[in-house]
Amino acid sequence: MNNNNPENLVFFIDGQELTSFSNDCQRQEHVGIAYEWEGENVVHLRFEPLPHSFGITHKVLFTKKPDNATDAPIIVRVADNGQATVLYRKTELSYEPNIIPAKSDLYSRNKGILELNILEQKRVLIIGLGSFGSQIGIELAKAGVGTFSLMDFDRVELHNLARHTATVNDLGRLKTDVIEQAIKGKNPYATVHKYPVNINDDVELLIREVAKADIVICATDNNRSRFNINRCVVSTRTPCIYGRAITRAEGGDVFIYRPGGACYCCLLGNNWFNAAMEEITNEQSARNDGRIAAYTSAEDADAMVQVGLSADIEPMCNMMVKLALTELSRGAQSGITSLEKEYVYPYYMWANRRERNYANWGSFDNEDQMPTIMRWYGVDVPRDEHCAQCGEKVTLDHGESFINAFGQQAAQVNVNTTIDLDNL
Amino acid sequence: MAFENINLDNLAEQASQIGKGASNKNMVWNKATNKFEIVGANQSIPEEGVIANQMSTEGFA
Repeated sequence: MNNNNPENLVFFIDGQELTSFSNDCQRQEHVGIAYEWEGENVVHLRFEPLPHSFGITHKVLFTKKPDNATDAPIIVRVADNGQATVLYRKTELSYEPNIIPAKSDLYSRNKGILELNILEQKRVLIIGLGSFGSQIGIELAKAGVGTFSLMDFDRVELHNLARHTATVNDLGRLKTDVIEQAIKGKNPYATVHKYPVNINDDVELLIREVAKADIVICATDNNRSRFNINRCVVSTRTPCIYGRAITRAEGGDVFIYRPGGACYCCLLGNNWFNAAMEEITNEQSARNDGRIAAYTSAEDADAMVQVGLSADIEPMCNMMVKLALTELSRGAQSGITSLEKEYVYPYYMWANRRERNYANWGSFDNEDQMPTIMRWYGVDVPRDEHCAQCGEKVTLDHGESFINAFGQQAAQVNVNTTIDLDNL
Repeated sequence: MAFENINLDNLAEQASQIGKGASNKNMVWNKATNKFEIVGANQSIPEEGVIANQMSTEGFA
């Protein structure tokens, strides 16, 4: 904050606080967070303590009586007509504050495209708040989604920053806290529920949250969690969008489970069970998994497991956001209604570079009638009747049918737990 | 609605034991239709089809 040049200060004030004061005319004191915002000369007032801030905390006094000024460093004087001026650090300079708009005005530029009154009633569960989940959460907040559940046990580390929405100021913080702050920064009216847990250790919580959600965003980076999430969304018939980038972000894909349609396990089939269930994002795990040839140097090996550029994951994040908004708005007449007819496939593929998995794709000019980079391809995915999670001939039941289907191996399945979803 | 018969401890491990009925999947590019098709490993590939790649199971987010 530029204390030496108060002439240039710009103040933002929460409009709801101002309205509240104007209505009851009671003098109010708040702890406001004033911090630099787009340069040294912009001050932003929030009237609730932030859980974490590198800004400056000020006591803010709302008053209609200028003579009663106390030692509050920021005094907001409100006239009878509701107009406010700000007195900063007892200087005689007063400011016309900018008012943070009311809820109805916040996303007025989305009107005609998104049905805000519908989206604000929706609840989105985001599992995994890495490079994908963090961006998707903020984009959905900007679109006006009203309630979020955030699940991730992890904290922000230095190597996250290249692709994550977090900044150096967030190092060491829980990702759930970082993204809650980011979401509320875009939509202060959003409700955010935080669960800094490993879902693989608390599947019961996962099931409960999935059952409450209108849609689930699966943005985790290991197959174990994807598998558990898939089981839960199939059982609760909750739409779910899965997204991932292939190693080094050469490309990626997005899958949407719509109740009654193919599930993620139908897509991967038996390949899934031949894959490592955990994340391969460091040299040692890649070596253990046999993905790095013997005698490969540490430097070369490290480059092989780096997860790519932020710009290369953007297409998948973007597709996930649009699919989510389309599903959440389904049936409402909005500016994105036409997308319901476009996004008819459950599976979408994207390639950034003609490497490895995509090496035999065609050149960009497409003269060889092959798929090319930088273009989405929708793919139909039929349900697999033998799918381990939704197949008609396969169930996870503990009853006779299960035992008949799988012989002695079924005996290894433990007695199960029943959760009444109606009473959640 | 009751959510029954689900082991909360090790879903993934269970499924790895019992999911063997599902088929391996290949991603096939059909030159005739300019579309990808998912084809089971034991299914025949369309006449104009080119195997693009086996369905990948890796990925980060």
